[in-house]
Amino acid sequence: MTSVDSAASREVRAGDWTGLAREASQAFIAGAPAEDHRELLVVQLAAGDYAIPVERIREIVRLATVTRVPRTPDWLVGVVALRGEIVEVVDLRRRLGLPKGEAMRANRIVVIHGDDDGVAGLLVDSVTGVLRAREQDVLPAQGHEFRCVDELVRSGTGFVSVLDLDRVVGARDE
Amino acid sequence: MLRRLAHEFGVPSGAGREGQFVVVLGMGEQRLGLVVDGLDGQQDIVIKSIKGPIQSIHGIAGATELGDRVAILVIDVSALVAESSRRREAA
Repeated sequence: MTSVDSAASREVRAGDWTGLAREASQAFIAGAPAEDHRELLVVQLAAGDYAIPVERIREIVRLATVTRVPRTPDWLVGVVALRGEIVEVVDLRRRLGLPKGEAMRANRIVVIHGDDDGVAGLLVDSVTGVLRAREQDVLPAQGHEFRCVDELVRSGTGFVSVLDLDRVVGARDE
Repeated sequence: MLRRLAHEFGVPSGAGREGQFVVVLGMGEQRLGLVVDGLDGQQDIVIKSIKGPIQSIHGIAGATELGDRVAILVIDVSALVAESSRRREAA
């Protein structure tokens, strides 16, 4: 494989998640980053790294009480109330066919914009940081994790799977 | 007609336990008795729609927030009454 420094990715490892959220939202307000770069939020799931495009992120919140909802698929953890708004939370591990996780202090809900004015919460093990990747370090991926991963990004020593959010929150094609 | 809410929703119930309640629901001429594990109180609420990938959940009309970021589901009475009368006709 190519050397490590071929990845010009910058990974910000911040200790606190508010800083990350601020960074992500600032990136969103500032509009798209330089054309040939992509900003991704790196989250951890079952010891693997997954990335979410920052422009789709609305906020990152701590895991609060989740109300389970009957008659829904097992990948739906339930609903949470966010400032009066009732939002469904998807268990990202289950959605990707990964083993079920234990509740941890590091758990976060990444709230993303869906299509139209839709929103959805994604339950992740933890939030790692923001990754700024060059376009040439992004490779197509197929058939990964229930087709919820559509790209891979070279990052440091390995690859990060970029989530196809429309598939992740798309309940249609089960 | 009597139904267990826990059974309708496929969740574990306190069936056989003492002190269970029957909530009698009415829709027009129809009546449905819903067996519940307990009653917590009465409150006026605003029903909010649930946002997310699952657009509609049969038997759930929406949800509301009871403070502390806790969401409470609101039962769709008409859906449950219609469902049980359909089932009775089919039987």
